[in-house]
Amino acid sequence: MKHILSISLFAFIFFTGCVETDFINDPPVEPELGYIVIQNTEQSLLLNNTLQLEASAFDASDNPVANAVLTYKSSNETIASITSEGLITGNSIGQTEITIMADGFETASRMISVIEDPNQLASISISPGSASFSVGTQIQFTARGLNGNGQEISGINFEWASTDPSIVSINNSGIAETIKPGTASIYASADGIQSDNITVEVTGQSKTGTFQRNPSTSYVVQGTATLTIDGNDLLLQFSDDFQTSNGPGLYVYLSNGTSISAGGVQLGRLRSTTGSQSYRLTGSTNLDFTHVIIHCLPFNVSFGFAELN
Amino acid sequence: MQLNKNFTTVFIIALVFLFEITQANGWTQKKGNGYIQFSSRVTVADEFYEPGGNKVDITTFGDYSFSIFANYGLTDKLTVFGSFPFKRLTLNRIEGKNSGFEFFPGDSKNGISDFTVGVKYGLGKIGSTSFAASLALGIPVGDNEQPNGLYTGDGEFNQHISIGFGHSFKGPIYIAGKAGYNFRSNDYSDEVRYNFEIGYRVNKSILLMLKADGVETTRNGADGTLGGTAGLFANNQNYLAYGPEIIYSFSDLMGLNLGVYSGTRTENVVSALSYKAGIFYKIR
Repeated sequence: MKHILSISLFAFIFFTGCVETDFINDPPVEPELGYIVIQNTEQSLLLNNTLQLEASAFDASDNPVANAVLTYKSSNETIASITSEGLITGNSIGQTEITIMADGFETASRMISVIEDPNQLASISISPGSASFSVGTQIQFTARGLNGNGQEISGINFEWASTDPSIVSINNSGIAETIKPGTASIYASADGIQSDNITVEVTGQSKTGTFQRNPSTSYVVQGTATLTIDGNDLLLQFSDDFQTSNGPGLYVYLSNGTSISAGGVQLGRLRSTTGSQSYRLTGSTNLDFTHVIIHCLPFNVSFGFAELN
Repeated sequence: MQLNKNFTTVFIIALVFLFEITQANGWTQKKGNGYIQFSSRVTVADEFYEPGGNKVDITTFGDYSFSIFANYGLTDKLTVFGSFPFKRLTLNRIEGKNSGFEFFPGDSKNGISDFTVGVKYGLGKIGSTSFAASLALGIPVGDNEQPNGLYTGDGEFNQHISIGFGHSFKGPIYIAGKAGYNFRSNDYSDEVRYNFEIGYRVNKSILLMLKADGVETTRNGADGTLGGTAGLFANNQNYLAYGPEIIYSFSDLMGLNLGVYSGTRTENVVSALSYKAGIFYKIR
């Protein structure tokens, strides 16, 4: 009996191992920005008149934020000034940009015209709105000129412009072409009146990188990776000469750094340690990822990575 | 003089007792004699020596082994032995400190590890040094396909041949050692294995030992081979493990041994101290 107890004691050690938690450093979580909506449809006011700007704040989940502290600013107060409560006063003829800001919210802005005659051109609206396009895309923009009563004025010749023609160019017909990845704004103007800016984000069609080993280890990872927008998805393809050291639980990640904790997205288990293979990230066309990582997930060791350019 | 004679007798008994449980020696069991040992070994590591010898951080990995080892003398020259280990392997879950995101849910595996069975043959003595040859066969009954690398076996049938020696000096000191070659199958690299120990008897009940146990890979296998009783990458391993061990005898038939081991010359092994505790019984 004594012997059985002794043996049981040693056997008991066998069962003492528990699965606990290891913590790894990942980037601090930045709170997602909310947004501000300007509710007025008016984009003009008569000289020496006032216009109460109505704006509401929403969090990233589209819930109203009643206690957001909004601040207002006019780019040219000699044309129109604005109070801390959002009351605009038209001081002289012209156009100014009103900006609304709040901590934790994306800034909202609107072009406001001060006019003498309600029948004159007071604002310009353009469509489509802000959007993301891949390199080499042509977009037809159209503009409408409205008077102070919100009625459309026909026969206006609009001038089109891009804040960065090297990223997005636009001709006099409002046809824009995306040139290279980046962000630019498009606007139209006529008779001294300018539209609100439309933001165009240009994404590349593909990125390529050459695998290299993790400098802290001697595991071999070589070959190239190409990340391509494929419809509504991202498609990651490895070249025929892809090769990696073998390891338990190897996974493929897209990330914004050489570590999976830098905003990494797991694409799945590595299908083969050699040769061509592809992985799909469905529902995303975000080519912002900067690295492809071959990662031993269970033991949290990166074997190697490719920096995408 | 009588005291010295008694002391020498006790020491020789102790050495035989000791050698029975080390296997790193040139002695065999007497016919009909043997012993059985129940032991546990615990290694918990959060660092790993990768194949180039660089130390990298890893998920905390636990290797908890319970092993039954026995040998028995069929004749005065021929001893059979076997080792039957069971393992519990654990990997911690991984959570982002800032995001709280669970990168890995953690995992564990309980199972039979690879068995070892073998024979040892006494080659004889030169002076007071005994020699013996051994053949140990690794029986791949463990799991080498666990998806997260918690391998309890290597999936290969290995054959380990070795020659050992044991030498007792005048006084309470002995040395013993063994060198051999481990033939491995299934694309694993073969291994040169060696071990050495020196022992000192403190009194009738207590023996102290310093042990060293080395493995050198021949790198003649495939680099991508996975699996193994090390719980991680068990191919192309290099190490020299060393550490003290103490044996406390409760009686002539029963004792306790405790040990702790560290390592050097390490490649493809975890970096951590390994703790061992066991109880053993003599068969007469």
